[in-house]
Amino acid sequence: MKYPISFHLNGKIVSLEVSTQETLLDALRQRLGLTGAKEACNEGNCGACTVLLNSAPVYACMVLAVEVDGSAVETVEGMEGEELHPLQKALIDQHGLQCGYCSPGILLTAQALLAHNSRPNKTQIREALAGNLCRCTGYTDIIKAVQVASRARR
Amino acid sequence: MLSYHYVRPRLLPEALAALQREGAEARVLAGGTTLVRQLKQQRVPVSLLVDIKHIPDLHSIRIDSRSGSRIGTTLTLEELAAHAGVQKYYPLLAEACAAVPAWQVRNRATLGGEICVGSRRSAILAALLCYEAAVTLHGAAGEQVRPLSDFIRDVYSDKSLLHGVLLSHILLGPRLRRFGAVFRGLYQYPGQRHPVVGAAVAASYYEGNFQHARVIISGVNPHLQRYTDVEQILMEGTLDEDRLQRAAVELGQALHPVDTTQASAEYQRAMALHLFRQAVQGLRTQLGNSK
Repeated sequence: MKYPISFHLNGKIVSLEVSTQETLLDALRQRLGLTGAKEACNEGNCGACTVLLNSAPVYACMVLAVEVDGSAVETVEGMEGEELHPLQKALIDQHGLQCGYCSPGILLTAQALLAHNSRPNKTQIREALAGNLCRCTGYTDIIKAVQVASRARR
Repeated sequence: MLSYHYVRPRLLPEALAALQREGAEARVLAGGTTLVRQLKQQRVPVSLLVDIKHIPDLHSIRIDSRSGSRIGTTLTLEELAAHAGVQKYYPLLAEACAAVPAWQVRNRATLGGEICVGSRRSAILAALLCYEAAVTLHGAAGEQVRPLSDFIRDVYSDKSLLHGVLLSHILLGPRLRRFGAVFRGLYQYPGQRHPVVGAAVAASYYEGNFQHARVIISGVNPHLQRYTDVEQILMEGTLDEDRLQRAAVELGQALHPVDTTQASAEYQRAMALHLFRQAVQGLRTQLGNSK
């Protein structure tokens, strides 16, 4: 079954026809060419596919594309500007990534956290990022990067 | 995934009509944290998804400590964890929702989904049982209100009871004076969705005695349930060590664990009793009765 949907994607309206079996992650990567959200576990465990749905972090692999009709979706591509986003810069400066596969999801979750809480402490950052797995860094530098970015935003 | 239709009703009767028209192969889609996984694994026959997230009444919440509260089933765990009224009057529910580790899951998973999945390990369901929750059901027979404990038991026995039925609200009773509720769980690793074994104890405290006691053990027996004989022992008189020991013996006899890959039956029983004692102690502390 195909259904027409229309939603805000990184601030621009996007319209397309999706099948009911298609996840938001499939639509972003395969239909819209936005490969920032990564496919990894594909069952809502790892956080590599995290995007913001109406400003809240969700696993794009567990949301059906048809559900986002009328919603606002932000992906890591939406962080692009003339300069790196403070979170992206901090993640690089603090060595908060190695292979980088988890980074888009972590950036978006951290962005949502800072929108809620501009001065999170380490515990709050850890709790917010509990749904984003990283097999390279051991998290310490990621947490440091979020703290640095929060200071840069003030 | 298999092919199926999708509808997005704006009113409860529309949703019900769609569910009843399609029969057993219609599924209610709320947060989708369980259903989407099942669809991917093709574990459930589905011909229609009824997305109930856009029905305003199902996303309403009214907290009233005197006359009781009514919570729409599409409220997410994150919304409940952050709700000031839930935090104030039903703190164990707020804590249990907040304890679901992934923010991404809390933003999608709904209270209704948690109930319909009915995991025997759910700390959220244990919290709801502590508050003697009831559920409002809509189906071919009209609207009915049933105690959550009965609903969990019946759905465990027969999943088809969910077909053509919509769970619209959770009802929580008025707040009792000096009432507290505590949950203690055993987790295998940080970030585990449900504890392997858990114990919830709730009661109010008057003149040295517990009243309105509720005891729930999660993860051991096939479905979550209250242990009324144990509750009775806790309420018989002053809660000294002898009475607590009697309650623990009674509880041990009511548990029927089986070996799993996570824990042997013997270990589950031992942990359940240990967590029960911890929860009672935690409740005494919470209610200012640490003697």
